[in-house]
Amino acid sequence: MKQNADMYGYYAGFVSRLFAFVLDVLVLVVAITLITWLITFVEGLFNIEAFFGGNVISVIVTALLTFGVYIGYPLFFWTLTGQTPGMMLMGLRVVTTDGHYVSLGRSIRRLIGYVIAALPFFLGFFWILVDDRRQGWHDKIAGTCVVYTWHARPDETFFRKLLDS
Amino acid sequence: MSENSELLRTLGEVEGQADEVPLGTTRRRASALRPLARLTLGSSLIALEAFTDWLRQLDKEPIEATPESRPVESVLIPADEWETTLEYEIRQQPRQVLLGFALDSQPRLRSAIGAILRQGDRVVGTVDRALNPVLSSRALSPIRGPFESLVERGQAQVNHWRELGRAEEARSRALTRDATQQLIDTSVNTVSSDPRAQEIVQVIIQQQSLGMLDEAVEEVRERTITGDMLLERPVRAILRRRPRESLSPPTEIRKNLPRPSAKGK
Repeated sequence: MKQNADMYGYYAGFVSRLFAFVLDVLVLVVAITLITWLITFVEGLFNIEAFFGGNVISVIVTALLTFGVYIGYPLFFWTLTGQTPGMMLMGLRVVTTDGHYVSLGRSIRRLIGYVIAALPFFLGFFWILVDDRRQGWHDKIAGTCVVYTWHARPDETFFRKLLDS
Repeated sequence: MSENSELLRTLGEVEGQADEVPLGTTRRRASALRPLARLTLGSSLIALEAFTDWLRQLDKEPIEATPESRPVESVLIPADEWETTLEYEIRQQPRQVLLGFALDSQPRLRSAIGAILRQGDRVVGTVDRALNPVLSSRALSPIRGPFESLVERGQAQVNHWRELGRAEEARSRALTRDATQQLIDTSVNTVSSDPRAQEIVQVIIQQQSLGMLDEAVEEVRERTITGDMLLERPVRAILRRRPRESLSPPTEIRKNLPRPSAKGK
């Protein structure tokens, strides 16, 4: 793999995937904040708190919706397009190891794999750095990998600068 | 044809406004060609002034040294060493001498012309003094009157042209200024009132914004890929894994993936 080669369809590396993940977390934080604000607004509008003698309902609804968003967001995007918005921006896609779209079953396995990979101090994610296919544990469990979906190439000036430093 | 007549009519209107510049003569209806001539003259004068100003400004700015062209066989020699070689001297000398001569000859030429003119005045004065008794003699009195009358008419014509030129210069400048202003106003009005023009402007702005966003995203992607490679390299080396460069590419995945656009998105 030469530095100036077109790396379209190659396994995506740790930093690109981390960037995509951070972007997705930002999207989720904004979404959860909006949902919480909306629920608080509706609760105040209909005076639900006084009716139930506390904010039990809003807490339950917020928790359920938050959980739903955290679970539903990746499942929805992985199954439908193979890309979450963060991955889309970074030019990445989840595919099966032979390059096909992932099914809902694989997506669910991959999500469970996230939890397993995070348990031993995120070792399952750092596995991406040493694996030949750049697969984390969640990828191994689901039989998936993440690839570049654009004519990927490194920034050679930046590359040399970092190497020099 | 209608567009031409419209243009001429507009110029006529603008010229009517520009006629407010005092000329000292009676206003008369100008032909269609007169405003065009004035517009051309005014544009040329303004453009010439702007060009001269730009040259003056450019002359004041510090000059950055640009690398000179070198023969192919010398490209392997470092620049410092190349400048000390005899071949470099031989290549540079004729050009530098010519440039120096061209720049130095300007003041010399000017002073030489001044000296020639001064000598000419002196010669004319001497000849005039010598011929004065002959020219003022009675023998030449029959032709002296018509000659002086001719000289006076010629001088009057020159004076008339000078006055006309002075007035026309001001008028041409005013005409060009007004025409430019009206052109700008009309263009702005067209863009602000015509929905199609607005649509075109919006599309251009959107395309430029999208282009800049695309470039920014691509830059981030390229840098993260660089990070991918740089972070992985030492980790794989420490764990004695084969370097990624020696691994075979995922041909099957590449075959099954849809091709991205040429721009890379």
